[in-house]
Amino acid sequence: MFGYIRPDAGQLRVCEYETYRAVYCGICHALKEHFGTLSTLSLNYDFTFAALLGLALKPGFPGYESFTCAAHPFHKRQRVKLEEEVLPYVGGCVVSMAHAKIADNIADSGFLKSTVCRLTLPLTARAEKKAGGKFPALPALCEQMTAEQDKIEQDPGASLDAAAEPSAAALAGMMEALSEDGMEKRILKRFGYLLGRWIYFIDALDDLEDDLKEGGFNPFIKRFGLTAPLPPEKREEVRDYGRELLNITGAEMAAAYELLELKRFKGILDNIVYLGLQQSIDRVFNRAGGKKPGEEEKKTEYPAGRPLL
Amino acid sequence: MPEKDPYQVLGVSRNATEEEVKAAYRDLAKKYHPDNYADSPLADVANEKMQEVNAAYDAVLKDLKNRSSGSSGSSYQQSYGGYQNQGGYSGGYGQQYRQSYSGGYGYGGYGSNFTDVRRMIQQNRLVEAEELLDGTPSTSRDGEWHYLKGTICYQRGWLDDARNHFSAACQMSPGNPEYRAALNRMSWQSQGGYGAPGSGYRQTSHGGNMDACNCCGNLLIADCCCECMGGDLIPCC
Repeated sequence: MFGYIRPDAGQLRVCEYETYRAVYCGICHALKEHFGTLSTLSLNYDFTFAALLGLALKPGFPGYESFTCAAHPFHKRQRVKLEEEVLPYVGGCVVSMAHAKIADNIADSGFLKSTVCRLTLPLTARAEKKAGGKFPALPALCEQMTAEQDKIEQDPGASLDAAAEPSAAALAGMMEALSEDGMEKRILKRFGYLLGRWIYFIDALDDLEDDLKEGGFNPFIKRFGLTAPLPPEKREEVRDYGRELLNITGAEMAAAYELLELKRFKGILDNIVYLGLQQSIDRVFNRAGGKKPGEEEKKTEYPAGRPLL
Repeated sequence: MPEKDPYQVLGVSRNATEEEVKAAYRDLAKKYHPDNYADSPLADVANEKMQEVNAAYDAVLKDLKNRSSGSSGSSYQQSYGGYQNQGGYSGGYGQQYRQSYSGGYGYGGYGSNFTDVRRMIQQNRLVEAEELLDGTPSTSRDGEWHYLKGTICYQRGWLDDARNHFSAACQMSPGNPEYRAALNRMSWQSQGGYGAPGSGYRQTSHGGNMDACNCCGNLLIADCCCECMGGDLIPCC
């Protein structure tokens, strides 16, 4: 479900790239300190974005420190110093969402996948409990998301919007808590709602073919009445519609985002909101099925596909 | 709340030239323009931002004027005079803003069948407004009904349903500028635009300039905009 909200790495300045990495490593550090070493495996780009935004809104900034990462033992790296607000909270969101996802997989998937998930469940459950102890609102948000999602998947009349509602509401609640200020909370709530919705739709579009094959729930299957071998023209129709839906959601996200008063990181956040989202859409649509018939490969002035981190 | 530094609000340095200040103001005014936030639950926040930017612009211009009169450079005086003649950006945008804010929403401007619903939406009582709308028998669901239903969906973030309702509203009442503007905005955004069509704010997302494909789309949107203002750009459609 995760990893769609990320910068277009090629368009970041080098210092911005370093900052992005330092924030990523900062959350990793927070996860390790607060929720145990294993919890760092659930870290993802989406919540790195949340942490960047959270840190960008705070008046003070904790600064950076050098450290040696166990995964890259021969290089010193920089990370954001652990503070008491944003990084632990975002870490809590990471483990809560990871737990919800694993629990959901067990319910939805076939035998093999669900067995793997069953083995990891006790680990994520422990981390999630710790997160709930520190941030009591998180477990409730995730439980509600899972329960509502189950209901939606049983409802034959649910629209695309209704299907995205549980994820969107959960992200709205999580993002809202990044600020204490009333006005900022309102903006973050709207922003988080749209962010959750955007992630839900792109994930559904990304998984479309798998869900069709395996009979998993996917709101686009229902919306377009799709059946197993997906004809190319039908796939194009779904994609075009999906792209429009993502664009509209992204534009509304940008409108909310512009109202936030950022104290730092504007370059990176702008990159994610205006370039990164588009790049993720392209990546998903180019991944399976490739180009449209007759479409030529895009020529760019820069070599594409710089790996992030 | 402490008064904010007007230079910081505009995002310009203390020794910025008048040109830089004007350019910065223009960008911000485009960004917070009410058209970009029409029907949005954050319209009031954008409104506040706009006022802040307007005030900052006035303050910075005054400051510039004081500084230039202090240094008694004749060229300075001239360039300032030139600007005055130009019409004053702040007045232009500010006025347009206030106008479209008070009247532009169309609330009660003409015979509405759903004055109560419109009032509730304005007061952000979405659940009640929707209940009232859903209680309307399906035979009397006209363009306005779909428009208002779309507005509620939009505020809630249900953007797919919102677009479908706006589109139904336009089909039922093709001549209504209010419904047309809402649909145009969503069509514009669906093609990768930001804000409202023609707002000039972040027109291209990534290098996607005018090309053969979206050129026609842009022309059509421009035509729709013209039509809803009473003009026409492409006579045949």
